[in-house]
Amino acid sequence: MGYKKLVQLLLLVVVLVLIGFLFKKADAYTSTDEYCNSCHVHDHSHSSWMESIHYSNCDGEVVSCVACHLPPKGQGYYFEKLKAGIHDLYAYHFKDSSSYNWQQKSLPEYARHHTFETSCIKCHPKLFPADLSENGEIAHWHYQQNNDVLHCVDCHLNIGHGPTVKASRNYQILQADSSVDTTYVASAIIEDFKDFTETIPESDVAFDMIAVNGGDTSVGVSDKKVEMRLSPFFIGRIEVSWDEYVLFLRETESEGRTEQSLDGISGATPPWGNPDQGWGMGQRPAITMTHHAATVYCRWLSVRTGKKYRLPTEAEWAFAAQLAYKDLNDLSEYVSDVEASTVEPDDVKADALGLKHLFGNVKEFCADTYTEVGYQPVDSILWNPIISSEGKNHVLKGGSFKSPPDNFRSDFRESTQHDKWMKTDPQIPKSIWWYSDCNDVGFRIVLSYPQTL
Amino acid sequence: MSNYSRRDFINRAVLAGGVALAAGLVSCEAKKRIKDLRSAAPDGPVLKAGLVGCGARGTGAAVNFLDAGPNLEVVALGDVFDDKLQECRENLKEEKGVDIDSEKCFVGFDAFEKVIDSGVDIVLLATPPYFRPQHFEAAVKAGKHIFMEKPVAVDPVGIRSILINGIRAKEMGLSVVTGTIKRHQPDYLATYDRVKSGVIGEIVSGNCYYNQGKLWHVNPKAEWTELEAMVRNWVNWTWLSGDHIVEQHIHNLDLMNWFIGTHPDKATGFGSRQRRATGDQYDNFSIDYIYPNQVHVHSMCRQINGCTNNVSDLIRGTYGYTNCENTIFDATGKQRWKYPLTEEQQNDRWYFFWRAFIQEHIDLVTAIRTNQSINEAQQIAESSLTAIMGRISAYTGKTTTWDEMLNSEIHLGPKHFIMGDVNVEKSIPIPGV
Repeated sequence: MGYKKLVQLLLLVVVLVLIGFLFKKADAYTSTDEYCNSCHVHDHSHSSWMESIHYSNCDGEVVSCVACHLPPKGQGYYFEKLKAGIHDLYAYHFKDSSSYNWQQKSLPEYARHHTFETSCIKCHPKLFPADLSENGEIAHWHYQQNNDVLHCVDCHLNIGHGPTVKASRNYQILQADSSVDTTYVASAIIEDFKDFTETIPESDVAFDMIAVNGGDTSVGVSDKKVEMRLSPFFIGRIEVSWDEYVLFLRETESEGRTEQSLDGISGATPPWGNPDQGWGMGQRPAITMTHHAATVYCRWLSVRTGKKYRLPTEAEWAFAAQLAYKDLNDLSEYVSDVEASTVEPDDVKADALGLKHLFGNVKEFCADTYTEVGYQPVDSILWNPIISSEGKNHVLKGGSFKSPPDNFRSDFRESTQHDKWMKTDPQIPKSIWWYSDCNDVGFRIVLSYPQTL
Repeated sequence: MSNYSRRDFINRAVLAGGVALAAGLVSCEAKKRIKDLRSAAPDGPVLKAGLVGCGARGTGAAVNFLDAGPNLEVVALGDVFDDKLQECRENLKEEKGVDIDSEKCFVGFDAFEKVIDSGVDIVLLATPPYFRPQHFEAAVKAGKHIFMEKPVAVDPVGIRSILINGIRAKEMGLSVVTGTIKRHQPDYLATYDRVKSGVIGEIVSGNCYYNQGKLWHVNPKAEWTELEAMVRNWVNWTWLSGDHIVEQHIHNLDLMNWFIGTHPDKATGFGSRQRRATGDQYDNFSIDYIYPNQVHVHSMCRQINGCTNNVSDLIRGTYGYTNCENTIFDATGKQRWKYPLTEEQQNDRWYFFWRAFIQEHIDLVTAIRTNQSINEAQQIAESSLTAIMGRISAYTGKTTTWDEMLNSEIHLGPKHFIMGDVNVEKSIPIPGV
């Protein structure tokens, strides 16, 4: 080897070392929390991180942004870093950060895409540390059995941002509020077929029912419309609210305890954590209850009021929506534009029937079992049809705050996703009362008229 | 800076070399494993064991442990009954010259905790199976290495506990060995290796038998409470033993799972009680286990005197079959291979059988002293659940599935352990109701 070649080789080595050094420096520089924050315009992510156990803990351990939001080195770290870098650079220069829906990005289905499970496991390799609680054991066993579909953040959502919330049974929800002004003594009496206000005796809970005249209609999608005749019915002005649902929980709460049951109705177990997702209760629609729980609610309400409340059939729901939005094309005043949570009924205008939120807010349970084809025509006209076949999924109508606008149609129908919505429930057997992984379903109640039907 | 990168490079190089070296070692190790089952555990600092459950098998396990190698001690005993404990203590003294300090002899339902806390490194769990999950959990959480007898639970709730604590043991680097002796017998291991290498082709079916006479029973005494009478007569009560399909036939079912490489998906079984004198168990079972790809295993077990006895296994493949123990046949029944036996071994039908009881402890102590932990918790939990799903199918008359069993809430036994009456279902199960 000549002298020249040796020099060239040496130079090459020096250059390579230099490049390597610069690369390392650049990587270190762009991996600091300060660097992440210099761009990341959502201040709350920094402050909420400082509240979290990954910053504020007894050991003084500080877990930096990249420790969770990038995979460990050697497991796709540089690839993901490059991907995130290009994405963020583009977004920073070409998009308006105030248009982002940060709340939505914090929902588990989004959070699991920017938190790397391999990174969780790198620091927390033990699934069953010796001090794990009994409930933790059950939950981690569930994870162990289903780790192809489960992600750590499905359950540990607030572990990196915000104060640590230890999930536990929410008994607080069952504490009766003692500062009640009004206490109704009797339920409403229906004398005529007109709107009325139902009052639940010995409680402060009341709600409005709207009269819907029966009639002939066709229900179904475009070319597959089925002719039918519906009897008159009342329908809830709003989706069943937390005010109403919490009373049911309080009066029928059970955990293998039946002494509090009313007329043999043993109700829901107390939920885990906040079933309202922290969005607030009151007149907002009650959510995350299972279809079964909704039907038990109707039975309870019927006993309490001496009427026969029930879930609407798909036909009744579609018929009400046809009437309510007959001459309306622009839905903007009737459907909230909030995309990450439910809203109160007052936030939108009442439709032609006087109902709120038939479309949007929460998907509403119907009594019908979900079948692909739905109602089938018969030789004569269908009278008050309902599909009650075997099957654990039911019809949902109306779309929710998560739904695209084209779902806000009277003929739009979808199915509950029972198994998917129970994905993270670790209990054996799983709860029959609460969906662990669905926060945009609720229901509206109806009442046949006359009641002898 | 270049220091850093150089160090990094060197680390990586060493690591890579190490991995390659280790991989080489492992593959050689795997090939040699069968022939080279250790005849004794290597020497090392003293390892102290405590025994929980001082019956015949517990005492046997303690002796086997002491026979496994140098510097091994049994220092603590625990049992529900003092007479059982003292008997075991005397036997250990007589047979092995071991004196157990009376301060380390613990009696009662909480004796296991005291044994675990008595400064031991290893816990030998040999009580009736009902108690195993609770004892295993406590031993794992206390960071002890464990030998536990089969089966490891009597119901799905217990199985889940074993699975969870088995993972926990693995995470803590603890070694867990169980009493399924066939997996520690050189003849079975050699046969397994040949079956795995494809000598009989793909496995298509299996048969396994544990048909034998009546085991034993203990009649209640006037001075005993119901709980004491039950625990002393545990092989006749389902909540304590799991019934004989779980308690004994598990040896065969474990073998089937081991050779086939997985557990069954479904079980449909019959069973009944014809001659059993006490307790609430059946005395015969016949189960059709369905493994993936429609591989059926027919399992039979019986504890009735005066019938044809047969304790054996057979696995059939596309090219032949094997007794799983030591012989492989081609499809026509011609012997293709037999485990080579020395003269001594030929003259002693139980040569490997008795040694396997010690081999379990040799393997456990070797794992601890060479820092290469072994963990048999999952395999024994799966085998125990295999037996349980057969039992439940026979008891109910319904087909049981693996997923349903793994997620079942079925939990046998009383809620409280106070000597007195026992509040459990004592009627004999009737299918189809």
